[in-house]
Amino acid sequence: MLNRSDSGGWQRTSPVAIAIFVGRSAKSGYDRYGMWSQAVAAIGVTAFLLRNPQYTALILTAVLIIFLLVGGLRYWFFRFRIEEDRILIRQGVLNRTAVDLPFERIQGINVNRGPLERILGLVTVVIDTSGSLSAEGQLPAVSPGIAERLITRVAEHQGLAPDVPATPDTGPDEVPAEGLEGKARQLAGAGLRAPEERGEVLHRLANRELLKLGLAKPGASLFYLAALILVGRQVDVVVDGVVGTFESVSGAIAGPGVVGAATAVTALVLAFAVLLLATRVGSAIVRYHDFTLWREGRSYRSQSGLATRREVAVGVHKVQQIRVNQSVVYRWFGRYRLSAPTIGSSLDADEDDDDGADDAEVLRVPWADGALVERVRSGILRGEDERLAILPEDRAFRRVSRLYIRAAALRFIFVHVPLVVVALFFLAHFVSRSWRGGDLSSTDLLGRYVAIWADVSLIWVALSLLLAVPVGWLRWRARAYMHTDDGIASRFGLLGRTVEACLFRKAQGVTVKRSPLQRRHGLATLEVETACGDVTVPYIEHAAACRLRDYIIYRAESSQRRWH
Amino acid sequence: MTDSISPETEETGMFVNPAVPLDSLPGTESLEWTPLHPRFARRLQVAALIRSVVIAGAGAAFHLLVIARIPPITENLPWLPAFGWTVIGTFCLWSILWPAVAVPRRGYVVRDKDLLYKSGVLWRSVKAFPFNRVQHTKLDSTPLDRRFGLASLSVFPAGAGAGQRVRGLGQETAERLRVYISERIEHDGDAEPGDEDAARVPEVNSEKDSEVTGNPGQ
Repeated sequence: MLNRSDSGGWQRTSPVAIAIFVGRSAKSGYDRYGMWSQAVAAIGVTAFLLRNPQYTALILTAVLIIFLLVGGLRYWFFRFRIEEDRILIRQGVLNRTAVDLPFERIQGINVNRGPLERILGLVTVVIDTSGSLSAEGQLPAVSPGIAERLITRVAEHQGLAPDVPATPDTGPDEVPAEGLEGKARQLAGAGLRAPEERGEVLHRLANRELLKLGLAKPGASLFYLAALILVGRQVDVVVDGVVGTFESVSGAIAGPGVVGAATAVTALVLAFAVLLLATRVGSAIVRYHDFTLWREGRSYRSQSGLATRREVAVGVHKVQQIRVNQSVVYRWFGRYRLSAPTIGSSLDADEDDDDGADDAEVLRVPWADGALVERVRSGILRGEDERLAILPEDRAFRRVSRLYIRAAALRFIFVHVPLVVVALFFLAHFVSRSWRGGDLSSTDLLGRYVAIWADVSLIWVALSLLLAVPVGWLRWRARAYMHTDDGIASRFGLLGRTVEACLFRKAQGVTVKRSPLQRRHGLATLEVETACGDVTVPYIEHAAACRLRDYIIYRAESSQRRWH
Repeated sequence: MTDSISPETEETGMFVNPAVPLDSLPGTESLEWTPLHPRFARRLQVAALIRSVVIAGAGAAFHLLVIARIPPITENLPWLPAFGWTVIGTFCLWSILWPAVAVPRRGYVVRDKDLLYKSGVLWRSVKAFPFNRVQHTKLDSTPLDRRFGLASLSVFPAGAGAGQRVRGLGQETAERLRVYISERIEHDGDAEPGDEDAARVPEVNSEKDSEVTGNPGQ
C-alpha cells in the first residue's frame, strides 16, 4: 500500500521558488522593520537618487543582484523529503531550520497558487498543523503531483493509524471520516477543488460590495502625511512642490484672486480625496477579490485575493474570542467586520491595517451583514449558550453606570490633552524652522516658537474641555455588556461600535479593578483575559463584578473541554 | 444585573455541566490574603535608592557639562535647572517612600485550582488565574533579590502579554509554590471528566504563613 519508491532522498523544489524566496525575503524585511521605516527608507533613497541620478543604475543593479543571490541561496538550501510517516523540511542559509512533521499531526494540506505559479502550472503546498507553522511548513513552487502524493500519503497514514488526531472537542457537528477518499478530501486544499465541493459556502463577496468595502476603509492618509513629516528635510521640497502646483493650477483655472485660490484648494482637496479612495478601493480589491467563506467540517475557511489567493483556516474550537466591529461608514452601509482570533494572534495590532496582516490564525470577514454574523456566531458557539449577543444593536445589551461618563470625560482630558500638547510642540518646532531664513536671532526664534505653541495648546485645551463631556457621553452610550450562562459580551466605541465576546471557559484569567471613583460609588471594572486580548466591562456594581468573576473562574476551572 | 446567571444542566457530548447554586460558589471576599515577604518593601527601597543615586549623578553631569554651558538657556531660562532638580528630587523621594505604602497592599492566595493576586493602592485590582489555563511558570531572582532572600514567581497563561509576576516571595515559598503550581498544571492534564466538581476548598496557607513570618531567609 505504501509506495516506498519515492520515500528516498532529499528533493529540491523547482527553481521558480527563487522568485518566491525573493518575495518572501522582501516581505520578511517589511514585517521586521515595519511600515514606517520602509517609508522613510523609500523616501530617503528616492531623494538621494533625485540628487545623484548617476548612481541609479548602479543601485538598482546591486539591489537586483543581492535579491537574486539571497533567493538563489535560499532555494539551494531548501530541501524536503517525504517519508513513510512524516515529511522533513530543511531550510535556511545561515540560520538553518529543520522541521519534521509527523503525518498524524497534519490537519490539512492547502495548495496555493501565486500568479507566477499559475502560469507555470506549479503550486505552493502549505501544511496546516495545529501548531503555528506558518513559513516553515511550506513547499514553494512544487509540481501538483507532489501535493497530490503528499495528500494521499497523509490520508493513507491517518486512515491506517488507529489513533487519528485526538479531537476532544466533541461538538454535535463532528464529521466522521468516510474512509480514505473522505480523508483525502478532508485534507486536500484550495487549488485543487472549489469551496462548494469542500463545504457549505456561507458568503461570497460580490464586486459591488467589494467597492463599498473599499470606500468604507479610509485611514492610509495619516500614514503618508506622517511619513512625510518624519523625513523633515524633504518637507520643504514637498511643500514647495505643492505650493507651486497650487499656484499654477489656480492661475490656470480661474486667474489670480480669492475665487481662483478657493477653487484651486477645493480641486486639490478633491483630487487628494479621490486618489485616496482609489487607493483604498484598489487595495480592497487586491486583498478581498472573490472573498469566499465556507464551513468545512469543524472549521471555517476563507479564500480571497486577486493575484495571490490567500486561504485561512480556523478550527471552531480554537476560536478564543469573537469581535464584531462597525465603524460609522460600515453603519451607514449596515455592514459589520467580524474577526475570530485564535490563540496568540493579537487583534489590537492589526486592527486597522489588515492589508499587511498575513496571519492565517485569524478568521476575518471584512464585509458581512447581520444575518451572516449571526450565522458565524452560532456556528462558533454551537452547543453553548447561543444567546450571547455580538451584534452591536442587540437588545440584550445593558448599559453601565452613568458615572462612566465622568470617567471617560476625565480620561479624555488627561490622556488626549497632554498628548496633543506634546504633538503641537513638535508641530510648532517645524513651523518655526521654516522662518530660519529671516533675520531673527535664535532667542527670538525660541520665543516665537514657544508663543505659538502656547497659543495653539491653549486653544486645544479649551476646545477639549468643551468636547470632554460630549465625548464621555458618546462613550457611555456605546458602552454596554451582556452575559449568558456561558459567555460574556462587551460593546464599546465612540461613533462606531465594537463588540467583543468570549466564552467563560476560554478565560485565561479574570481581574476586578477599582479606581478611587469606583470605590466611592461601589463600582468596579471586570476584565476577562483571553488568549488573544481582554473583554472589559467597566463601571458595573462591585458585588456583581465579584460574583461574575467567581462564576467565570469556576467555569474555566471546571471545564473539561479543550479550549484551544 | 445579576439576574441572568442561572447555570442549568446541559449536555454536550461528553461534557456534563451540573447545576451550580450561585451562592455556593467559593467567593473571594472572605479569603485570607497572604502578604508578601516582610523584607520586600525594604528591598524595593534599596533599589530605588541606588537608582536615585545614579539618576542624581547623571543629572548633575548633564547640568554641569551641558546646560550650564549653553548661554541661551542660562540667560533666558535661569529657572530651568532648579525646575529640573525639583522634578528629579520629587521622583526619587517618591520612589523611595512609595514601596512602604504599596507593598503591604499586595497579597496573594493559592487555592486548589487558582492563584489570586491583589495589588494597588488607589487603583486596586484582584486578578485570578486558573491553574488549568497556566502554560508554564517561571522563578527568577536578581542579585539584589537574593541578598534579601527573595524571588519572583511568574505564571503564564496562553497568549501574549498576559500573566502575572508575583514579586517579593521568600525564596523557599516561591520554590514551593512553583512546585505546587507545576503539579497542578500536570494534574490538570490527565483530569478525568468526572472530577470536575472536585472540592475547591480554598488552600490553607499554613506552611506559607509560617514561612513568611518565621523563616528569616538567608
